[in-house]
Amino acid sequence: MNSKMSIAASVLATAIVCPLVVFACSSDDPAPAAKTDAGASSSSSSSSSGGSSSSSSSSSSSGGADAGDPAVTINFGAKVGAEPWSCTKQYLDLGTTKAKVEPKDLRFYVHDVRMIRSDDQEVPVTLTVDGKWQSADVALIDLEDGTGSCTEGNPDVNAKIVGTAPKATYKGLAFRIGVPFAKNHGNPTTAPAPLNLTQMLWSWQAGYRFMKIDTQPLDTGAGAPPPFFMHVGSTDCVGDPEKGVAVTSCGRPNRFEVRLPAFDAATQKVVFDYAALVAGADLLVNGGGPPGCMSGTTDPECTPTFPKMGLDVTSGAPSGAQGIFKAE
Amino acid sequence: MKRAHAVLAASVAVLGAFAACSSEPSSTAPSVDGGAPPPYDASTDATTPADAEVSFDWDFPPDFPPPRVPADNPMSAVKAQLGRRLFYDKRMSGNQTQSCAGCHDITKSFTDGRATARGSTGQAHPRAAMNLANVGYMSALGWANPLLLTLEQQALVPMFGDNPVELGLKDSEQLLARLRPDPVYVDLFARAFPGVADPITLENVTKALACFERTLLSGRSAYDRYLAGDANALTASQKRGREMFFSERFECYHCHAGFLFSDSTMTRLSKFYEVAFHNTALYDLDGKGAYPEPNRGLLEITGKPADMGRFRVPTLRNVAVTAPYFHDGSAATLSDVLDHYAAGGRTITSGPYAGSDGSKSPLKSSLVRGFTLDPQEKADLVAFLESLTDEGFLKDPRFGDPFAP
Repeated sequence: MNSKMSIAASVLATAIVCPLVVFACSSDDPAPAAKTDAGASSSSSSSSSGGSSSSSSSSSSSGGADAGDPAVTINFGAKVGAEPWSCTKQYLDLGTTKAKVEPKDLRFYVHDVRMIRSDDQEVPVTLTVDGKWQSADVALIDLEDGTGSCTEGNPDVNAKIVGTAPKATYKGLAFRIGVPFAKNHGNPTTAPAPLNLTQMLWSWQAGYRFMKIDTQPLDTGAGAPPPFFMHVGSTDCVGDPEKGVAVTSCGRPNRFEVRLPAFDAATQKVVFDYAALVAGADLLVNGGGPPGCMSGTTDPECTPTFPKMGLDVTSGAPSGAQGIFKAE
Repeated sequence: MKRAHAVLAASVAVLGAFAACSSEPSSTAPSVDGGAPPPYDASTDATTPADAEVSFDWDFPPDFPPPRVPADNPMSAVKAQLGRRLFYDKRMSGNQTQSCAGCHDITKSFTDGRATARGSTGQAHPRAAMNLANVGYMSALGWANPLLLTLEQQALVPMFGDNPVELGLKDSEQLLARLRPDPVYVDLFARAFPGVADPITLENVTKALACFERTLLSGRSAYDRYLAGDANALTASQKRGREMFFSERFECYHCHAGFLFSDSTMTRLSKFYEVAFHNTALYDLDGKGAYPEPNRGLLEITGKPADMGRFRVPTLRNVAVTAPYFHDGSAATLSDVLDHYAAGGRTITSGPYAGSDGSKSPLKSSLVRGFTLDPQEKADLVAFLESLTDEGFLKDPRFGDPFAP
């Protein structure tokens, strides 16, 4: 830079900004946190429980996917206790106060899908990109059909994950609920489906809701209860605003592992049970924070529900096994 | 108008000069998927958005520097016009009863006069509608959200948020299906986003809204005329109030800093990211500094206990017309606000928060120390704050309701 330009630049900058520039108060500047997001790593711990349920023979190398791999379809469903989940039904005796509820929404993101081989090796399932429900990284399961009490939903339903996996004998299934960290904080208005669905946006956290499972508890005579929202997503996020990056890490990732050691994709479904999720919660009274649980550490409705997902409510890290998805 | 061009052209030259000798490393931000807006990069700013903006007439108030503009959303007059129309269009809400302007009324510097805002379904928002004057310069958006870096990104919160419901749109298709058959929008989107087969998209809705918001420049108050050399623009009382405002005795200007009176201000000339959040001792429910839910400030985003009650400093431009005050509208008048700061925190003796003594909060800003203020001094400070009103902005036809008869 030549000196003439330098002088001109500084004079002009002063002229434009003055005379009102005064010192910013810096004593309260937030210190950047150095937390990490555990999201992207995939668990590869092996399991020895569960029996073999598939019988095809293997010819491919461990974990390697190739274009000729056979198709895999993993079906999903939902129940409330023993009853099938439906937008047109009401359900009794839920939670600690035996609430009667009607469903409003049931959608969740799935990623890091793995089949468990008979030798306990986990083999990634390559998601088939369909431009709607599945990208290469994440799939959306959408079990509400916009009917009945699901007034904010839409008619489209997706109850399966479709992909490919090397030919082998598989006995189980594992996946994670949520959007992978690398895909969770981009611009949702330009993201490919299924990450451009505005109903799953969690814009105030600059991310997505991993699970949106909402019900409306019904009046038992004591006054109309608030809705019971179950919104799970990454919180305590920090970014690098100087570089224009809204989120660089999240202190509480809130992604959880679902591990079904005995699962036969040909004959079984992955079944979500709403009654199990809310078994320890009071659905009739909002004990504090937002109605239901929006992933807050001090929300009384998160305290009993997070452990059901195998999540530590304080750290947002995995803690124990989840209990809301079963193989049926 | 000529002057605005001159300032912009000169600033482009400055940026070019910076770019030529910049020793800053190029951005090493981790790549974010889904077409996230590219990180702001001043070294390219001079050649990309600024060039595209040379034809855009900002009409900057005197001494206003250019705001930062994302490289992928350059300013244009037609885009701002489109954004203005969307801003005032009730089809932007799910039940078509409320537009952005429902909570952002130009005559109140784009606030709503309520203690806390009310959404399209009637649901009460926990916080007050924010002043949008000069919002394009704010380094973070909302009352306490460091994750909301751009107006494009922020627009999604009122559009689709459900806790609380603001505009209450069900999904993007609900909105886009309303806009597509409207020939006015077909024309505006096509001209605002030329060369695109289907320009009526959610992305472009947010870009147009942000573009309009960046045009909301307000800097022609009596105080600005005074600074420009008109010694008679301020009354004697206002001049005394100005001295007090910028004094160490009252400390107002430490946080209400810079040409917008907010220490979370950035311009295109800024070389560092500046944002700050402060606990102004409005509450201490438990002796440990607790604020009442659901208004606990920065803590709600960061999860850090020390961030309890910390909120972004709002601009004071047009502050006389943005009552009531504070994030929850809990101060009715400027006089009440000054009483609060004079006391060094708020003591609450009745109602649900009785017993709360913010002045003793361990989390309160060290600058909220309290001071004595006699009636004349208070009147002078209020008079100074009233001199920050830009009357022309509040009725500027360029920013008004295009649907008005």
